[in-house]
Amino acid sequence: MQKILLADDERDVRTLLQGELESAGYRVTAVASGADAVIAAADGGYDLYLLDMMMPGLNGVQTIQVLRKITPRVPILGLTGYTGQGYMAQASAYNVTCLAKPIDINDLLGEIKLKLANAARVAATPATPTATGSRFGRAG
Amino acid sequence: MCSDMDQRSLVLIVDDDRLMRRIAAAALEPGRFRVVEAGDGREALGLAAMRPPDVVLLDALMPTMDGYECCRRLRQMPGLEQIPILMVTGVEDDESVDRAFEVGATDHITKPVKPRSLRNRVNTLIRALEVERKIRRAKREWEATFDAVGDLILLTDDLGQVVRCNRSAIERFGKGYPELIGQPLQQLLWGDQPVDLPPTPNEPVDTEFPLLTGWFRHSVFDLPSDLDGVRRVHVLRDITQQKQAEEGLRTSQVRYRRLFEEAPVMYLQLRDEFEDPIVEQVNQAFLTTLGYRKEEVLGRPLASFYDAESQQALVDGWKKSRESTVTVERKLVRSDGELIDVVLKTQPERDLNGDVVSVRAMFTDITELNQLQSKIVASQKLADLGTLAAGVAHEMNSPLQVITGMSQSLLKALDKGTLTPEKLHTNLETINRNAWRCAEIARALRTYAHSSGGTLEPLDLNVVIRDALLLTEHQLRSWSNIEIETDLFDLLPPTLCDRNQIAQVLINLLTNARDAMPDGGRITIRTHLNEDGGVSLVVADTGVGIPQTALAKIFNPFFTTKAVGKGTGLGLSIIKGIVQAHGGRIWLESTEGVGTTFFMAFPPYIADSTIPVPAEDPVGRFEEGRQTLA
Repeated sequence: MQKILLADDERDVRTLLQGELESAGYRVTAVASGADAVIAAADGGYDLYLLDMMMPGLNGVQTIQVLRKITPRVPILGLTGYTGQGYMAQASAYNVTCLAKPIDINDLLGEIKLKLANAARVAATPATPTATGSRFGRAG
Repeated sequence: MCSDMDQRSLVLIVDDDRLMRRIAAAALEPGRFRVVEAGDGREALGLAAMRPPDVVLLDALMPTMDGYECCRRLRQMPGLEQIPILMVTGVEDDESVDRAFEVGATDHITKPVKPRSLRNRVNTLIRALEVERKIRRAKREWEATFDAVGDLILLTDDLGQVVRCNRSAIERFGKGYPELIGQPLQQLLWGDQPVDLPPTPNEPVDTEFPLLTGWFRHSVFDLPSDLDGVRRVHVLRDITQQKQAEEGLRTSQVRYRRLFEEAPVMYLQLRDEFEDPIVEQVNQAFLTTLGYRKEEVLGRPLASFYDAESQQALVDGWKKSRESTVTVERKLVRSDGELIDVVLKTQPERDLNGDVVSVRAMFTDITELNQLQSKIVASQKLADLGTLAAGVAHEMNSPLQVITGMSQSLLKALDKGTLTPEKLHTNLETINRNAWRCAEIARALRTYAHSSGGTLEPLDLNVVIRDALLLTEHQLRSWSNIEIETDLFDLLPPTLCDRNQIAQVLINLLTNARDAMPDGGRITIRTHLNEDGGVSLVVADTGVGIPQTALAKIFNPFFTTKAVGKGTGLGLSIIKGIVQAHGGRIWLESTEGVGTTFFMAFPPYIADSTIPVPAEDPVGRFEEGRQTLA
């Protein structure tokens, strides 16, 4: 069973997403801050990180920076309700797809599935370990 | 005997008869003369060469060298050309007398000589000698003086020809003395140019001459009677330097005048009349800007160009203006009634005694600046609303995510037939709570947007603060390592305020506080009741603090300590403007390395009053004006 690390400071959002992801067959660890996400990720064993981009303490981008250092191959999906600032651009610089809140749960599950599949393919072809990861990365 | 100091006249008695010499010496007035005796002509010449005598008594008939020969030789000796030589002749015959005068004797006396007549004769000669010496000395003195005078002095005769002139004239004309004498003065000064000459005596004329370089004051004196052929004295005083200095002064005056006239700032010169400033001088910029003619302005009181508020401020301001340099903000009224914002700088002008004779007033039109500033303020407000709107979207999106997700989940469970009452209850409860949160945010946003018309309403400052925080809550929470603490006094009386603007003030201060704490820290928002019944809002941070040097300028527009591109420097000036528009005051305390605290005190709200009472006195306004200029 694939493991997802979920970080969001909003309790209700956490509850919702944990419930839906578990219903979809993932094992989910839910934390309330970027710092907690880093601590959890250090223990290892996650197949995907799902991060809110705006959190107290370490924000989304800072969290991504740390996570990329300690576990460079784990795919990351970002979630943000804030479309005004350059979060999406910042996140994509780290090869992270950022999704806008509110998002249809089915769409979210689809994005997660796609990310996991891409990651699996990358792992199977070690010659190009970092060339892909984005769902647009395989084009051609 | 100390002969050099001897004032007595030296008489040289020359006679071959010793007895005669004795008699002559005894005949002279005692005490007035010193006597030297010579037995013949040779001895006399030797003595005279040694010590030139004042008078010589000379016997005509002597052996070896007689009196005539001796007299002739004496006259050839330097210094003895003029001295009296009294020839004593033996017999009264025409031939002897003629001979005596021929060889240069001054007078003659016939033997036998009576002592009394000898004495009288000698005395007369001495007196004549003294008079002549005096005249000669006077002449020398006069000539020296004449030549020493820097003015050109030329004496002319009846025909206007130069009879005499001094050294200055010789030098200035660049001709030798003989070339000047006998020349018509008119020719020397004007050449062939015809002139209406001569100038009226005693009426000096400042003029230039074609044949002399420079400016001269030409004075003419007519002498009362023909004096040695001299009729007129012309005095030419060189006034070139004076003329140049005057010219320079006039040029600088003209230049200053033009500067005053043509300066692009409005100038007035004011005099005090019974404690009222009256316009004494006005420049073009003032007339053009206000739309008046010069004669409409001169003599009018300054107050008549002021709006009511400025007139009020003038009462105290004028006294200050007469004491020192003052800078204040005022409003001028144009002839068409339009108001002009100006910065007024006044400077007292003192005479040599230090008494104030007038006050110079310089007005700088800042209407455009103010308009520009409010435009920038307005655009800044829009930017803030934009930021806020983006923030609000996020605030709404999280609860909306919960609502859509939870309801979707319920539908799915219902379709699958796996929906339990517990799940239904929990989810619905969550959906309800988040829906209400959206509603609350929408309400806050509505009130925020609604009051953007700049209207003041009595509001609980705490509610305004809480709404602003609600709308920005998520953004604030995302600030790294920054804790926001509120300490709001529960029972605040209403404050007359613009919700929108106060929220803006708060958000701005919070943003500043955040920027002051790059390593994190705590921001405290406090409200409390003031002694006067007004309300205070305090925002404190634990940031880097503001340097002492920056404190004075912190509220100035465009002043910023942030890096280029990081801030417009407008934030605090806008905040100050907003607080003052509320009748409030803003100040701060800051310690480097400890933190900064902003204090805002708002006046108490009195029902039915819609205009806040200004909290500042005119002195404070003046300070503010000066800061704006700095």
